[in-house]
Amino acid sequence: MKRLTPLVLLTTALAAGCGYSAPDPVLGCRSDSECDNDEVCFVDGCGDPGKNIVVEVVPNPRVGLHAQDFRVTELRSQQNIELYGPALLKGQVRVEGLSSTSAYSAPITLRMTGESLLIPGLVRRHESTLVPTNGLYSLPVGAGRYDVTLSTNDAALPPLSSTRDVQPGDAVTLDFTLPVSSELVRLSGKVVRPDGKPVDVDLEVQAQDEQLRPLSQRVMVTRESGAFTLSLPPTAAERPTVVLQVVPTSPQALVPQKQFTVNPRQGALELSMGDYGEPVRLRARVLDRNGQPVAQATVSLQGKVSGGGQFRSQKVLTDETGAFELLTLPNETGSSMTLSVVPPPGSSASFTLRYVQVPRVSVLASADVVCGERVLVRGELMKPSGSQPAAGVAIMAEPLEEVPGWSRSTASFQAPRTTDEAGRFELPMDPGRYRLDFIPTEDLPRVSRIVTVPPPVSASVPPSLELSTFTLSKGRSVNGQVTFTGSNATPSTAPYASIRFFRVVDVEGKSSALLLSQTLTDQTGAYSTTVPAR
Amino acid sequence: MKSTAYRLASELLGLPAMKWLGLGAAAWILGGCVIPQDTSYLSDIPQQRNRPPRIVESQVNPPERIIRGYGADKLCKLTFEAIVEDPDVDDQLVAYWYVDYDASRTQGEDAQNIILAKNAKVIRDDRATFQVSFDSADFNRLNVPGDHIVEVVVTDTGLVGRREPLNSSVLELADGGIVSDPGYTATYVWFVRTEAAGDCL
Repeated sequence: MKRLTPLVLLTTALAAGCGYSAPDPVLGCRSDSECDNDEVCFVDGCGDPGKNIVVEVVPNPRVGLHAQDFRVTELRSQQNIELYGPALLKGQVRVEGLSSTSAYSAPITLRMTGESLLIPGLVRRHESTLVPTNGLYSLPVGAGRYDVTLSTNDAALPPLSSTRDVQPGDAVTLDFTLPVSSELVRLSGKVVRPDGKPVDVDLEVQAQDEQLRPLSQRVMVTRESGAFTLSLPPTAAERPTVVLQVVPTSPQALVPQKQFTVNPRQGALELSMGDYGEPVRLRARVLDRNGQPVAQATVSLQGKVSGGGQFRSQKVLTDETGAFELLTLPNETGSSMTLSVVPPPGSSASFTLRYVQVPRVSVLASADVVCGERVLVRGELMKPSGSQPAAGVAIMAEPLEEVPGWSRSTASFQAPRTTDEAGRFELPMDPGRYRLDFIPTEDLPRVSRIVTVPPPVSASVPPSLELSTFTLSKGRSVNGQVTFTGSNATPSTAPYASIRFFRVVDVEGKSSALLLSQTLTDQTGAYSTTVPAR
Repeated sequence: MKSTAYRLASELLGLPAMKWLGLGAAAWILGGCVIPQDTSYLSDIPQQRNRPPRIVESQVNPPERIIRGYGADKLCKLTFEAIVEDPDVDDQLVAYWYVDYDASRTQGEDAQNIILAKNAKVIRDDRATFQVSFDSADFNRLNVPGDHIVEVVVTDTGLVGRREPLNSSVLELADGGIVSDPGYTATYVWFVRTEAAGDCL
């Protein structure tokens, strides 16, 4: 029992905090040396560099040869890729009649929004305005899962939507039947101010379902009278309620947007925008922790206004003195508006949210907005050998998600400077979870790591985060020929085709795609690229 | 039986004076092979003049020139992309992105990408990329409802003034003349209609 006492004491001491260390900010490994001999350190941890690979090939969108994705079981040094011909979405557009349907031959717009079936998060989109020939249409598309929406030039005809999966080389059929005009349900009304007068700005109104999917086309509200008429398909009119979204079309309009939940079978509607008040000119300055002005910061204000609408101001930039002025509406009684300040990349000032009261005045001089300090993330990058610093490496930061207590950071950004001669880098970052992409100058593959930037512990200490040393991966050359199979109508080789290799794995339980390399075929359809290797 | 001419030549060569004359002639002819006859040297290999980069138009993204409905009906994000090639494989290229560029105002670029020279490839693997998100808190002119122009200007030098390539360098020719060696730009343009509505709000 005596022998156990020191062990118990040590365990207790560690549990009490002597051995405590902050959670590791880096997900998984840091360098290939931490992995088995045949594995590479990827963003999700150690893994086989030849497995879980998906290649995307985009032969030539100009001639209707869109993206095709292929799973690669084992990535070889000589990796030829055989492509299919163009994938097509095709079908008929017909109009319901009283006894039969007839072909629709007026212009239609097809909008397809979706993503790759094999590469999670890779967005694909197609849009085309065309005239069906005797009701028939055909549209070349990329492989993917799409929401397809058809709309016509006739504002009375509601848009039709459906979902389709398209595989490489497939011809997928999707027919649309437009409702006959006499069966459409008209929803008419007026958009007014509380005094019953029309709102003197250009407004649009659209009927939507609970998920804000469109049930009607967007129609303009008559400015002089406030009147509008929407056409709903019979199925939409059977719903207990629909959402009418009223939105000003001009960014300068100082009118809120507002949603109304209404019974679609109700008669003439009167949609009151409420007493949202008169415009307020808000002036303030943006300063950093040291009281220095923050120039070129983006400032905007949004929140609830009286009458139940939502208002979002235009975004403005601060000047050299950190000053800004924006036009807004007063907030709803008892609530406040959210002022968002986004300093430019490279600034030490952090993304800041403030709640401000905007009373019913014409000019409001608000208190200075003092931003917190971004966390200075430092690190070191080594060449694959591990003994030499990797200089001149470009760094991209892609925000993935927010950390508790902090709003999600801004869009992805590139570090203002590459790594220095010692392979060191410094990057002011807002708290959040990021993917850092390191893009070397030499013929080495890009390397990515997921890093969590924690919120500052204390306001008095300048926040910083020292990441341990990362090591770039070795590269190996993969080359091959891209050709078409099958149809004689398509060329046998694919010149100037875009090729991208992705690693598709689960990262923390979520299927994710990591770009490994990208290139373009030459005039003969041949390509060569560098992927991570041991 | 020997001919008269053969006999005459044998007799002439047999004379001592003629022997020295023949030897001199041989030295004069053969000497041209080993003794420099001209004091001017070959000039250096001519310096290669700069050649322009090119945007691979078949692979620009989005492939459509006109994009409608950004900010509405699930089109809440847009990624613009251009692949470039440059026969001068060592040139560093810079892509400048502009939204609604107005030459009458002092307006910097909205984004910038550096496309490094690596692998000695004519077609660059790194792509010029510009991403916009309608719900982003960042300032972007493209998020303002209305019609916009998005331009990418790729250059193998810098841009000055109204997006002109930086000053030309001057090459000296072997004959003493000079020739201008300018930098180049290549551009591509999209038209975007931003419509704030639906699920992007």
